Amino acid sequence: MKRRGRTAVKTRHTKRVKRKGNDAPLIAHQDNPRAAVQFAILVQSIKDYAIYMLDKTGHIISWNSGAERIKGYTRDEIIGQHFSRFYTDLDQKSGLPTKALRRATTVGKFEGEGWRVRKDGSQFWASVIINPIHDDSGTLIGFAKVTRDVTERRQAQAMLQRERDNKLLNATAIVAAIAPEIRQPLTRIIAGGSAAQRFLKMVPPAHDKAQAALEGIVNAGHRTSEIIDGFRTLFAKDDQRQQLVDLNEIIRSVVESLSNDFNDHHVEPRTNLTAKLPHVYGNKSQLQEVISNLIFNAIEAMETTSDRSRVLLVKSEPRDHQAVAVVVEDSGPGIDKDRLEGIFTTFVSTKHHGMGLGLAISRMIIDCHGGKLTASSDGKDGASFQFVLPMASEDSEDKDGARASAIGGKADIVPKSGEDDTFR
Amino acid sequence: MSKVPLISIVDDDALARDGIHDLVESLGYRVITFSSAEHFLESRVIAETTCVITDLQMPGLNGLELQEALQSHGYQTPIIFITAYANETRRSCALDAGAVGFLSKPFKEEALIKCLTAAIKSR
Repeated sequence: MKRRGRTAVKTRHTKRVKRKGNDAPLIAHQDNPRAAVQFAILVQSIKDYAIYMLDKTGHIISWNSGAERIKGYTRDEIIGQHFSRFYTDLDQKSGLPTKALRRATTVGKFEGEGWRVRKDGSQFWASVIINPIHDDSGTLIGFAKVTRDVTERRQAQAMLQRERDNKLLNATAIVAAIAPEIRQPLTRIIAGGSAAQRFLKMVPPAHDKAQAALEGIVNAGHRTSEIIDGFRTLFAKDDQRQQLVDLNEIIRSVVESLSNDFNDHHVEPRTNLTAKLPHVYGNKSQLQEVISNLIFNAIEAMETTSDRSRVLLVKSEPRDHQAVAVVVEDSGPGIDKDRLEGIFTTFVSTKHHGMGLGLAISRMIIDCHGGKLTASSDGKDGASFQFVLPMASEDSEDKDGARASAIGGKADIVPKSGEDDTFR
Repeated sequence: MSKVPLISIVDDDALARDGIHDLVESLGYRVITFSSAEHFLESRVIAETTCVITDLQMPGLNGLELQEALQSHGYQTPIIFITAYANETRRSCALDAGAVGFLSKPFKEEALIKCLTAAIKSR
């Protein structure tokens, strides 16, 4: 049966370029075979995109070096094979390849993203365009396919989304942390205001009591401001970068910087740090805050200890081949088992240096680093706080430019002091 | 001669404690404050206390445990909870155990007055 398109009635306007080995035939530009060759070389040499042709049933009839690089097959291995082999089993079962070709035919283009399978079985995230190719009479003769490996871009987007989610979570966490603390001075202010009003309405008016109530209101106002400032300092730090961190280095520097506190409180600091402790990936200042907080709490726990020596022990060790643990132990009175969970709900420790970090925030920081902070105690012989963090993987390294940190971010949540007065 | 009711306030947070103290005093009651449930339980005013106003979350015994301790010692003292960490679970817990009121910090004056009036009536 003769088809119009097939009877190659050669005119001056269509000329077939000689086949070179397994190269697919290209329709040459009018009167310009050299342009055709040039074009073939161009397509062939593009390495970032897989550009190849399918016949109308989906079998591969051309290949370029980009295709070889991205998909892993050499030209000899792939010519004549059906392009559905690049799809995952699941996608093949769902009929995705056929649907793609159909859409390209009816709509004029198929564009999509999805997992594709390389020759070695590994998968990559592909960005795909399929265009139908028609001959002069409008008959479909095949498809042009362009595929790009965008696995990296997808991972970067996923990470960006995670960081965005983190920021949202952190805004919630910050509000959750500040709100209960501010409720206390607010109670003083509101109850004190009502009290002052009543005192002044009494017959005779209780002026002294009203004065005292009003003074309490002013103090509470200042206290509220302190709380907010404290949180600003905590969450608007300049250094938000994540980097490879040596926990031993941090422990040593914190212990050293606290030598006066140890002396003042008659505490003997001991360390038992595993040499060459694997690095973790995270925010150095936040991890330092956590370690300081745990040590301060330990010192405080031993305040009343007089029947035995006050010993603070900090240990560091690898855990389960993929994690790193830091343990802070004290020789204080310990913590009742039923109280162990409750201690993590103290958001603010006001006892040291004005605005210290509470255990709740320490836990939040460790959570955001992908780790866990726990406490254990038998209620008699001291308490032990430990956090476990995943080891830094081979390819997590300091990248150029600052990354959003695990907790907080720059000014969009908490402006730095002195800057945005409208926030106040 | 009926004595002016004595209200005992238990709260580890000084600001909240002082604020509630001033307000209850301005309402005409006698007030005494404690910075912990333990201090209150060790005091000599339990029997005389007409009503207890207590915080929920405190280091040491918390508000619910204070409520338990009072009941197990045979005291029927009405208790009003005022907390910065209010949630439904804690609220039901407290009310189920017989609390007269469960308020969120900062609370509305009228709400506290209502609870106090109810507490005193129940004596």
